[in-house]
Amino acid sequence: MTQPTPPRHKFHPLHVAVRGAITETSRKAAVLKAGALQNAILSSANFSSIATDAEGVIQVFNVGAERMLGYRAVDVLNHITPANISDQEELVARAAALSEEFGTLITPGFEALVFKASRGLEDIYELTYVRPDGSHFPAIVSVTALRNEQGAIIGYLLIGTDNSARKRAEDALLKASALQNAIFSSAYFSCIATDEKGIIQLFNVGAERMLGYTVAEVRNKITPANMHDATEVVARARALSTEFGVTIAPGFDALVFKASRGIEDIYELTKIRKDGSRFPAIISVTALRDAGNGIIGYLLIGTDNSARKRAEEALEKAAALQHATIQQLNSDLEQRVKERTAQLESANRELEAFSYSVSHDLRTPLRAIDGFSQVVLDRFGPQLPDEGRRYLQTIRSGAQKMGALIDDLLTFARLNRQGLSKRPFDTVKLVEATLEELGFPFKDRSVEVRVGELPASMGDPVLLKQVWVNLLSNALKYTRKRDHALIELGSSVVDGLPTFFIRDNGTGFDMRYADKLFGVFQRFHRAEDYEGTGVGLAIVQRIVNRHGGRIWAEAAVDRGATFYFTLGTENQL
Amino acid sequence: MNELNPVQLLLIEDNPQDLELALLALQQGSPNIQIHVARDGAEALDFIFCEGLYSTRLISDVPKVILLDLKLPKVDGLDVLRRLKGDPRTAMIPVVVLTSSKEQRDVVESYQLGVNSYIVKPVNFERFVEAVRNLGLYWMTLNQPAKSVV
Repeated sequence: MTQPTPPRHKFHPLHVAVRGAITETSRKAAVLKAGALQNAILSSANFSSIATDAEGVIQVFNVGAERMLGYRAVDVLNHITPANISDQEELVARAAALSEEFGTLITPGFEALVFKASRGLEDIYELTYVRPDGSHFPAIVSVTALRNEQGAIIGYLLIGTDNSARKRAEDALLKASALQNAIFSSAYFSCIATDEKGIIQLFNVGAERMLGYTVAEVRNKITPANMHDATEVVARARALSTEFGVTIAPGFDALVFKASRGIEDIYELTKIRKDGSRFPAIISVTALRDAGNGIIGYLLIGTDNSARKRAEEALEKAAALQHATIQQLNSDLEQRVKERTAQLESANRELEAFSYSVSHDLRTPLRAIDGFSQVVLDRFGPQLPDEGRRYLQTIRSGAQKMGALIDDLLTFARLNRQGLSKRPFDTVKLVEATLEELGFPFKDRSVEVRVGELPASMGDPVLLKQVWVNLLSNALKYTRKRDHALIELGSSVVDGLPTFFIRDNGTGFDMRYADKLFGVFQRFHRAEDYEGTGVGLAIVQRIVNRHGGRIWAEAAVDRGATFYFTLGTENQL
Repeated sequence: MNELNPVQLLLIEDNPQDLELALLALQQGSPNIQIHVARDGAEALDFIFCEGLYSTRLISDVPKVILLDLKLPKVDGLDVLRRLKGDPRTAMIPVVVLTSSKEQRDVVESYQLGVNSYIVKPVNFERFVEAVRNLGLYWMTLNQPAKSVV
């Protein structure tokens, strides 16, 4: 048998000294006392039954004691007293209390546990046992003195029940009530409890602080409805009436109706303080019920929502400010666009007035020059020398050429301000109509026109017809000196884009000057060889560019020219 | 159509050279016409509505055709056209715009106001004569005008 080693406990020297002498008699007495009932109690696992001899040394240590206290019977029997496995501080406290009560010095050991019982007094008390692992076990211990037939004490019986469940419940209760107290006494929540009619019964410090009333001013006097914005309460009553299809009075009912129906209810309302000032609150309402589930009152817990409201308002203000700033920027921009547009419109009007004036006023004197030259020729021609008549003809052709130049320049200028009216059209039909307008087929010339595949296009047909007119006119003009003119029209794909081409076998041009080809007033030929204003290809390029396309040419002197053009990706069909 | 009752034509033209050339062209084309000339828009309106200098004229004595330049002093050609076509007494008179302007907006507005023809005066004199002769032939001999409702 090994020595039991309960931590932090010392054997009382007195018990050790007396133990051997009395053991035999005590055991016999205990056995004598033991009946069937006692056996049952002793063997119950739900009681710790510890029997000692008169000195306190443990003689019986039942299964319940083993289970609850964690010691094995063999380790404690005849070795220690219950005091050795009890909380020492409790022992000291208990000894001190008993010493005072009985006016005699009681040692803080086994004596403290059994003193009352040894005096024949009933003794039930709370005792904390200490397990071998150091953990505590709260027990309620009932102590009885065991006596022989002569009434002399031969030992003690300590029956313990597990007190931990009750302890826990007590602790929890304490904790809960502490928490409730903390909540209820918090200055940051208003806790208002009412009876079932709404009359205030409880009014915590938070409510006092927030609302400015004292408990005395409200308890048994008013309902929380008196502390709310009346308009809001009316609105809430109306909304709830609609929602539930019953008439709800715009008073306390409106505040607790949902809670009374067992519906969780948290809402925002404006509370009014005693001094009439207001603050936004978030209110949570709970119905208080009795055991039979009948409503006995309501608990309204409110928090001050001012800070959140202020934050929300600040946010709204910031958003409004941002909105206003953006609007200001937009209107500034609009204003600038308006001003710029007005400037552009004004410039455009000036330009229009200019070209109108050119169109009208520049041609009138030309008509006079041409007209009166002709009148002179008609009326006085026979009287003039041949040279005089030729000079007049030269004057006329100069005037006419200037007329043509003015017309072309006006067309060119107009292209910039004229809007494009795009639609899909049949290129072949357009080209055929153009050829017909140009007088094809010709009676006085041998011209062969080969029309290949020409895909339909998207664009302004009037302007694109001008492109074909100018390019075909050029082809006809520069093949004029050929016995047999050949003009080929077709399309191919260049860089993934449909590309139209017009090829002729005419006089061509030197590619060194190709960069000047599409400039205004640029001419590659002498006026006496080929007439022209030098504006036609500039017009063509401008129309093609305005359609998002590109135009270029390949040529060689006396070996014909080929013009290519595209219409930009958005104009493909 | 005879000498006692020549065809009446109103020519509204401010430019003296254009006027002379127009008269030459008209006389070359159809000699048996009586040409009234107005040198600005105001005079043209006086003639048409028998006011001012022309107050003794009878409004029922309508010209067979009016040749109208657009760019005119005092009252613009388009305003003259607007007045003419807006009045039931004169709305039926054929009006031919004879102008230097090729501007699309002039063409469109003229037709919107109810012009009967729009001719751009060519620089080339032969073509000018031909155009005037053609319009004289059409409006003064071939065209069958509506009888005035007034």
